[in-house]
Amino acid sequence: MGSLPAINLNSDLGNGYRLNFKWESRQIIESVSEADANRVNFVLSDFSAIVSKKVDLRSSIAGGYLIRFEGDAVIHRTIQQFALVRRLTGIRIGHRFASDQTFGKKEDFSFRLRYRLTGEFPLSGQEVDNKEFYLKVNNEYLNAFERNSYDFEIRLVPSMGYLFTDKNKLEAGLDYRIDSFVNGTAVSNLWLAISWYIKL
Amino acid sequence: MQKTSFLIVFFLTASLNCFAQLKYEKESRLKVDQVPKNALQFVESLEPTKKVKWYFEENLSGNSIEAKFDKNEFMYSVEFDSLGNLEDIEILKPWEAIDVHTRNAIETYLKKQFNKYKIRKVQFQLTGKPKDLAQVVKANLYYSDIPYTLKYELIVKGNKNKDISLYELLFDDEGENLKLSKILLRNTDNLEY
Repeated sequence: MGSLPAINLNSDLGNGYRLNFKWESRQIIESVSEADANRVNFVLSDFSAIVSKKVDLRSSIAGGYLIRFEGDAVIHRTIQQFALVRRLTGIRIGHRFASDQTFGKKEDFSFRLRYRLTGEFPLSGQEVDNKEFYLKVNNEYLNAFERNSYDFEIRLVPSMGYLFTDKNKLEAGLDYRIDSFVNGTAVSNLWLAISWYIKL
Repeated sequence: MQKTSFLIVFFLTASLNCFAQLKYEKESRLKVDQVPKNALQFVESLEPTKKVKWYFEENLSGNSIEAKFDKNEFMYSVEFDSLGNLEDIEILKPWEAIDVHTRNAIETYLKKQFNKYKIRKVQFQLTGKPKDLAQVVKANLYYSDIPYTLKYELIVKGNKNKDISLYELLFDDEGENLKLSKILLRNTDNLEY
């Protein structure tokens, strides 16, 4: 069990370009894995910047960079993604196809291919209005390649959101992750995720 | 590191958040017993084939009551003022349901406005006396001598000066443009990142 507070800052750069800056921290309170038993209260911080370009009404391509501070180690990650948002009656669906490459002095190079499906459901009326709650569910599938090894991870994140204004929303929920089940014993993690989205 | 980074981001976002603007528009479900009788009776007279959903909408120009339902495969939206007086009826229709002459006039206008466009949604917008509108809707007499006003509301994805946006357009029954406005899409940051 751990917590994942995050702050997302988004800004329009003009001509269909946008900038996303994200800070996310990870604090492990308790882990179900014995190997992680000595990592209680260990903290890491991620800072990422992603520039996206709108390619259609509701789709965009993006590329960015993430830097992770984990103890003494500094880890780097490059990110590429394609996102598509569909609006249906009473629901918004988001598809995100992404790849990332992680590297660092003490880190083996790894490559991931991921797909995330998100559904956003208003709890009142046909769409989420200001000062209203909504339900959001993320389901992500990650393929991780590192040297000669392969791992598959599944994430499920049900959360409750509150829309202060269209430029300011807060989400809190549970982030459940399970991996290592392809080649060994499954390892699962449960996080309390709190994300704040702000558009400048 | 953890504390410092948290404080930097917190103060940065807190200060920027002060400039957030409030756009007041809220829609909520209404129970049938909260709907004015005259509105209820009018919608029943249209003989909806599926369950009617009632909504209360609050916005800066005033409050309104809206009934949404399906009838003969088309989606109907009937709007009333807060006292239950009929304001208009909107019916989702295929593009081909518009009279050919009017369709041609609308297409000519769209070709002038956009480099490229795609019609996403067409709605017939009917205003007039409740009795006349009920007659038009029940018997599908859109092009008849019944006195009422028919307008067409289109949602169009348009390409204009390298910008792709969604537009709402209103045309009269001759295909003359009455209104063109860009639709501000809701922020999708929480679905993309």
